[in-house]
Amino acid sequence: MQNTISQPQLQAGANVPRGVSRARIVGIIGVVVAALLISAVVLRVDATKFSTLNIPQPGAPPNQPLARIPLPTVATVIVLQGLLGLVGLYIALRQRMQWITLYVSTMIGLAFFTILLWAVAGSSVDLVDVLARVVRLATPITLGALAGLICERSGVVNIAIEGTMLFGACIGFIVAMVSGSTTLGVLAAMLTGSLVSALHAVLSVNFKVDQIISGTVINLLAVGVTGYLRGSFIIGYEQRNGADITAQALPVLRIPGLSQIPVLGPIFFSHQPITYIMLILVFAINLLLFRTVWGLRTRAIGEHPKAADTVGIQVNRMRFWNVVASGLISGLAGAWFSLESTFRFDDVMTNGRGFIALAAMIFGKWTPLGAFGGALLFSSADALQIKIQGFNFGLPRQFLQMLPYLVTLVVLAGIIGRARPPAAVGQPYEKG
Amino acid sequence: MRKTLINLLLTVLLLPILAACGAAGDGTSTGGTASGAAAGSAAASGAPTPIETEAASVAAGVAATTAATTAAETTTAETTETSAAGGADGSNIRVALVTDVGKVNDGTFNQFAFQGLQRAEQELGAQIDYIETQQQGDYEKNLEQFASGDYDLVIGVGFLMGDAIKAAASRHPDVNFAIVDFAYGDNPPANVKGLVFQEDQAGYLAGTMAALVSQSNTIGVVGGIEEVPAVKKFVQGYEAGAKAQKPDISVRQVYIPSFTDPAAGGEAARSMIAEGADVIFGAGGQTGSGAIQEAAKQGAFVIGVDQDEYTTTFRGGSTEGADKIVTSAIKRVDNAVFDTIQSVVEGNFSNELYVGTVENGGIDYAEAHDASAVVTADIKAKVDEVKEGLTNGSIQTGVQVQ
Repeated sequence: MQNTISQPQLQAGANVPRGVSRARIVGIIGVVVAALLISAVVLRVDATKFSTLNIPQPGAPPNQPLARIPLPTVATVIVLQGLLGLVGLYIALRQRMQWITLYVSTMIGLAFFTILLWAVAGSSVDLVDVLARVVRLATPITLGALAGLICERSGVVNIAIEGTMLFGACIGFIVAMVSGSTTLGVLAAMLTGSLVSALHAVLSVNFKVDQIISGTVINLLAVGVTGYLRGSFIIGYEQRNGADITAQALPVLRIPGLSQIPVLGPIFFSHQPITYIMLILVFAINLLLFRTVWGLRTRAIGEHPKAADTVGIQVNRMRFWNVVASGLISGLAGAWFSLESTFRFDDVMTNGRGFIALAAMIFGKWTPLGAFGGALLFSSADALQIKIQGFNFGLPRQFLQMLPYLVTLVVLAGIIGRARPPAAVGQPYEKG
Repeated sequence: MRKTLINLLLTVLLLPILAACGAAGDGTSTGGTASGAAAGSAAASGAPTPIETEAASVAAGVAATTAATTAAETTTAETTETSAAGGADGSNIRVALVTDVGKVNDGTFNQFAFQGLQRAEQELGAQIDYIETQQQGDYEKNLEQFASGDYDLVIGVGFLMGDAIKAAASRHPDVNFAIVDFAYGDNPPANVKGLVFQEDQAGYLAGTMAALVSQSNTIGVVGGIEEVPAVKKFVQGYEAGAKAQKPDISVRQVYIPSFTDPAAGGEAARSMIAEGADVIFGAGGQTGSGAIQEAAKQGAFVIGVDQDEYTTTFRGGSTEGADKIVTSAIKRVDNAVFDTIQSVVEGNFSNELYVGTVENGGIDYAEAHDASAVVTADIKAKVDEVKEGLTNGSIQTGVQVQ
């Protein structure tokens, strides 16, 4: 509701003066980050040390890399961050608005790369392994964000992504375990997701319950019901029929030819099915949302349902079915947890990634490609901290574990500028 | 079409809830007829028993609100209640367990503690009861339910319950408490017994094994929440044990700030494998189990924790990678729990800290099962030698964690 009240100010605020100062702020942040990283590395790392990047041969053991690239740690960091700082200075002085997005992504990427070089000073690291992990870990977040943005573009807030995922993970696992077919499990997870989302749709679209409340109810329900199912059924079934459970996690599908390309192969073409589906969905939904009648109508009922209604779109009916459809995607995200990344179900195993997905959606300003970017931001911070914890590194572990959340927070709050949600999001539509 | 879907949906979603209610109903009726009705069932049936009035004075609403949950869960516990066996007679002793977040059959220390409880039921005839905690915020409530009931001993599982137990103990000075994995320092409350373990010794044995099995001279460990001392002791003991065998070995450590994130655990394991690690130790609940499952799939050797994970995580050898688990770092929580119950039965309960070590059988390592081709007689002999050294004190792990 607040969003609509402040709408006029928002639009006024998006005009030139605010934008100019934002370029300045971003530029200055860039300079500060560069200065901080350079001084930290210069002070903490011996100038004679090298950070070696290993490029693995696809399919070969890790001790036989295709190439080893030794980089002098301190010199590399000074050059990279120095350039970044100079560009930041230029942006701040000349106020290059159109550079901001590119600059911010480069800044984050280079900051992560610098921390990686710093962590592995005097040692070597498999860079490709980190990047492949970034894609894998982005999968559930991207899918969750896509589900969220379909709902919100239709004017329905869906904070129940987390709970929907958890339901999908649980039921999908049960079906796979009992039937012996993981594919069936994935389908069951999607179906479950859409049913749970349908509950949200019934409550929030038909009964016009406050959408936040409805979402919260589903999140709480998910923890309770899936926990109950695990205790009363899954664990017992595993113990009784342990030897008969034939289903396994989804297989890794190496795309012939492409997966053999060094660097690109492991990063993009050696994944499990849900990760591929995620990559396809990002572009498919982008196309659907901005290039089809369905997309136009969806955006219309989220921006101005009354206008949509006057041209004959059945607002509530469309909202209902869009929310149900989004459940298919969050159910698929749930299947990632219990059927792709592992083959097990544990209490609350989604660990808040459904909420991170919503942050990614906002980060991407309610566009599929942007949401994917947001998910990559979080997952790369996560992949980075997992990797560098394994090295004896000066920064405290708690800080590293906090990194993904910290980066998300800082970027959301300060750098991307004001995000404008669909105008009618959160408001039940009443005809007449 | 939409109407039908709505109806269908409501039916589907209500089913599990109805099922839960059905179970609760059964629990109530069983509890009513069994000899010693549990506090939960009594409250649920609404009978004005002394238990309930006492509960009412302390925490009026608590018993009633959690009654349904307990009733459902006490069903299994009460069926075998009357089978008192020989030895010390504990049939008038009532013992209750509050699990950490998890279940009494979840393959973690919750299950192990519950096994100790079950043994006390069979061998001592004690009356047992339990609540499975759903989330951390419920510790106090669950403890209060038993403490304000007519129980002789209330056992909490897990370091994270430390404060809740202490609070409950000061409110109920007449009830004895025990807590797994928590020590209250020099001045423990008079009615609380801490049950802790030298996890560093278990980790040390695991590290010894890992160093001997490793070909690449790089090994890894995935820990759970670093702030939990048990986790840190496992990890540091592991490093110490490995370095004692091979001083130049590289021990990679990753902590994941959750015990229930198997996906992140698996990724951490893969990350270390990419850097050449060929043995992975998972020391962090289900996060650790996820790590060793994934590591075994990737072809690395793995080491489980707490119980023999060959029988839990690898389902007795039926899952992929079961031939990769070379051992597990074992903590006999069940024995510690059983001994504590026995001390109550025999009337000599004290607040003295129990410390499980290799020496008193509280710490051990599991056999190799399907990986016995890798764990040769030589390796096993060396690990046993280290175990002997830890027992007689000639080997110290050197780990200091508080």
